[in-house]
Amino acid sequence: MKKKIRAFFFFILFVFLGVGGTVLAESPLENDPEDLLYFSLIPKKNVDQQILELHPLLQLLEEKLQRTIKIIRPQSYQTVIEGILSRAIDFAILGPASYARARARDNSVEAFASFAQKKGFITPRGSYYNSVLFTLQERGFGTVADLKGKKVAFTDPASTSGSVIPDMEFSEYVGGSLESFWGTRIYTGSHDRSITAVLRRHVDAAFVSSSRIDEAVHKGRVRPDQVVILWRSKPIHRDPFVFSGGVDESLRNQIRGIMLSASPRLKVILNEMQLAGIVAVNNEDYQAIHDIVAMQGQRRE
Amino acid sequence: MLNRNGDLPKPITKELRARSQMIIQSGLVVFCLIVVLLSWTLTLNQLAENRKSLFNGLNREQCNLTSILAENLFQMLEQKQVIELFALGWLSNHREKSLNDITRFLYGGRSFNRVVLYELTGRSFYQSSPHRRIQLDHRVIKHGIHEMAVSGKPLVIDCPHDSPGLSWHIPILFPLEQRGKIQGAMLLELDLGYILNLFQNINIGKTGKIMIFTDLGEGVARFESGGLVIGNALARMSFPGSLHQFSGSGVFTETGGEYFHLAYQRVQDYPFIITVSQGLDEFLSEFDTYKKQQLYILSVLTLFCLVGFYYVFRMINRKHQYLSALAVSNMENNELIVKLEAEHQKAVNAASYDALTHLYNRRLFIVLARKSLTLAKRNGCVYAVLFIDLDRFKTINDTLGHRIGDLLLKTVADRLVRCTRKSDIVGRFGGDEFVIMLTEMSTEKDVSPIVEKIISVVKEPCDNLDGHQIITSPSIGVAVYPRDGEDIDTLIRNADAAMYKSKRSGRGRCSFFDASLNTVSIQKFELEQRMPSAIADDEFVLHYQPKVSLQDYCVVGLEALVRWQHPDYDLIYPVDFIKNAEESGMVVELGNWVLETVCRQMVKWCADGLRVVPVAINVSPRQLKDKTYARHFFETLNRYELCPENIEIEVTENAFVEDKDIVIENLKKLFSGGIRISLDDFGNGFSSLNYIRSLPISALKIDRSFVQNIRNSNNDNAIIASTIILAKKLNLIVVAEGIESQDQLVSLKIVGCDQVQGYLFSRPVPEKEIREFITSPLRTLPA
Repeated sequence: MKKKIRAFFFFILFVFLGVGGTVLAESPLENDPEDLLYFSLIPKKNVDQQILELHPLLQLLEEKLQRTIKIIRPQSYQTVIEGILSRAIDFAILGPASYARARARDNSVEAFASFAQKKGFITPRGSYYNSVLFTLQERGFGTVADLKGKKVAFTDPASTSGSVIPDMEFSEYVGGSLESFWGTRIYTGSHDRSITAVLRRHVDAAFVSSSRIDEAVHKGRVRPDQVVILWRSKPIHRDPFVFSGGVDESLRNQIRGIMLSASPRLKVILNEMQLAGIVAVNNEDYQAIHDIVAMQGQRRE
Repeated sequence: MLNRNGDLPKPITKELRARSQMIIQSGLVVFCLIVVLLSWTLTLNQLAENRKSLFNGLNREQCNLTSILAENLFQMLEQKQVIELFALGWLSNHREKSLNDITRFLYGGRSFNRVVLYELTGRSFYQSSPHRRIQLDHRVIKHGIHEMAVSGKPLVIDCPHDSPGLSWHIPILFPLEQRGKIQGAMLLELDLGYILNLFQNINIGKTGKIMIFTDLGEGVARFESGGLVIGNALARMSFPGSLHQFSGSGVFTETGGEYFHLAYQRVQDYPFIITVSQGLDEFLSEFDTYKKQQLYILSVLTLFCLVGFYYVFRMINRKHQYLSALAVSNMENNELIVKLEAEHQKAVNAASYDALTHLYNRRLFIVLARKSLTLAKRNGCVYAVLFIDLDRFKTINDTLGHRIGDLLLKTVADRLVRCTRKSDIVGRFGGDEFVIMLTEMSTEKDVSPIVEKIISVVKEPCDNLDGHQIITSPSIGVAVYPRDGEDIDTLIRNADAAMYKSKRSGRGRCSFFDASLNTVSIQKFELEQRMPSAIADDEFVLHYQPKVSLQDYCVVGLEALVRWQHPDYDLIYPVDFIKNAEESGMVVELGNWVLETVCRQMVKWCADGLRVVPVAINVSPRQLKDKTYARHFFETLNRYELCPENIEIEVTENAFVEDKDIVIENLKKLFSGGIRISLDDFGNGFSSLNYIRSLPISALKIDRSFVQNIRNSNNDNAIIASTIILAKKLNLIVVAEGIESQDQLVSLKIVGCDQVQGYLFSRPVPEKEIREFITSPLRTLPA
């Protein structure tokens, strides 16, 4: 009961101070829009942590570009997509599916780089990862069939590995719609929250990015022997850095030049981020996901 | 177990006890039940209270939550005001300025993803990001504007989604109003990510749900298990139909049958309702476990309690049975005891009372008499034991039968009781032997009248003893305390001896054990006639009594006392014949006989080799009036070749009444001749010590009457003490007569008396017995 009260108290603080405060402080209306570059990223995990991890890289960009980079904290994948599309955000990290969706509505949106990762607990080294169906060893689910009718966590409707790919590939795998297979589908908003939901047993399994499992194991949130992967998608290209249509070519080249350079400082930064490097990508690299998104759109129609 | 009145417990008491036992047991049962009932009531009540308080807490928590969430949603939706301002401004400025401000505001606010502005026709004139593949039909918008004009409230648009099966935003259509007139419409897409972030840290349990409905009851978003449920599951959201108030709470049931507690609140000015709910099963799971635990514990305790009480009852019952059995056995014992006591009393009575006459029997008589004697030792009174035997009783018994004998005995017993005082003790020793103790008499003289009375009363004829008239007489022996013995056994023995003496001397007689107390009515004339021949016939005998020095208890002398062994009257004492002898003048001859006899005896003792002590003889005044007495005395001594120290004389004060000069002359001659002279019976007569000073005497003999009263009269003590002191001053030896008890001995020794004479050491005894005192003169005090 006490726990609840405390959580409730923090919640009030969060609602009245946190949200209200940020609305004014971060409002772009107060700054000179010409000097600022707006950056955002999809909330794969805790946004603050993501921003913190990216901070050295963004700092490098600010220094090299001589521009201030303003980070827009996203509420959801959709926030970033709409931001890129409305060109309120200049560049961002999108998921493959988000990128595909944005690109579908505005083809001036362009993917230009992505992180290359080191080998993780379940993810191979390189620019690809998987969507995995994760559950806990102690829950006793041996096969996918065991999970029929159970409660599953997805990330965000726009998340590639947390929603789009499972929706597509897993449906094919089980030979039916997700709705008929799963009892209840929960959208947690981020991969980490999905993992937490599994750990807290709010849900029986979750579709998450294999990279997020790697990190959870790496950080000790989950023991390796606890992790049971019942399903794994085809490799998915890693999240692209994306320019909005409002970014001119020279700036695009400048940013590309900085991020794809072989500068030792960048190497250090990437090393600290536990990344293998940054690789150049183009729209074609995401063709597979474009197809899927297009297919989903058509299915909807 | 006798009660206060000594009665046995009655059955009614038992019944009462049983009833009180039953009351106690019933009380215990009721008490036990009350305790059990009370603990159950209290526990159930407490549990109900706990449950109520939990519900109150839950209700408060959920209401607070809905209220905060509703307020937050309201604040968020209020941001549309700014966008509306931009839009209206843009319209006022004839659509000249850029609408980028809206876009920038949008991403500053972060709660809305997209803005689309519509004209009244339903066609869009601005959108913050490129349109989706599927666009809203302008007719839908136009209809919406129309609806809003009527309701005055924004609309939640059910729009087709661009991603399959998912609605990750809520499109809300607001009117663009200027001066109360609708200019167009504004579609804001509320980002569900915002809602998710808002709810993500709220812990409302596994079954806890936060839901957003439109005011038409359509589900918009459902937050549970740490995430949002959208899609078809959302469609399954059922809206409790009774949420009519602005806010409220209550327990509802789902179609599945599970109960849940739900609080709701409408969002002010906007068409949303926020609900927070939690399944009761989950919410109460901890409480239910606790409750089960409590009830289990209580049940176990109740069981223990009941079992405990059962055993207590059993124990009480058993104890009660034991007690009842004990009470019965006690009662039986008591009855037995009472019986035994009665038997014992009977036996005691039998052992203490004579069944025939109801007089004390020997045993009880002795006990009572002994007790009386202990009293006697303190009060100094005279007590007498009478041993009575009926004359001719055996003959009566043998001739008339035992019945008559018994009747006679009863009659005699009655008469004896009548003759005596209540304080006297009358007993029957068996057969025709009766014993009486006469108590607390002041002098020995008081005994005789009572004895005489007894003789005369018993002698009276017994009329009508079963048709017979019988005359009997008692023979009585008397022993007097302390003269004849200081303990009851001695007294009875002596009284018995005296009784036999009475029997010998004829019927209806009484004899004192101490013969000197016997009053024999001997014919004076007869004695006078017989005395001369008696002297010639040697009927007179001498008895001797020792005089003992108080210094060393050594026999220092003897007194010779004359007795007449009369053939008809047994032994006659001087008191019965001396007076006659004095009158007839025979006393002179008798005195000479005494002197001759003493001298003869003295010679004999000397011849026998005994170390003789002086022997005193009593000389009558009549003898001393004879002028030749002194000469005669010395001649006799000479004849027997005895020294003057061998013979002493004792004279009474009467001797100095008539012919005083001759008497004194005689005495002086004797005194000067070395004869020691004692003044006998001193104290009763006329002589003062001053007078005595002139007399030729060497010793004073204090009269027995003074000595006997030593213990109970301080005056007598004083007289004796002063007499002794004065006598000492005159160089006279003091001899106390008639000493009978140790107390008297002690008193006399303290006041300085030189010698004593009395029954304590020896009564006057014949020559045969006195020899023992001469051979061993050192005496020890009798125990």
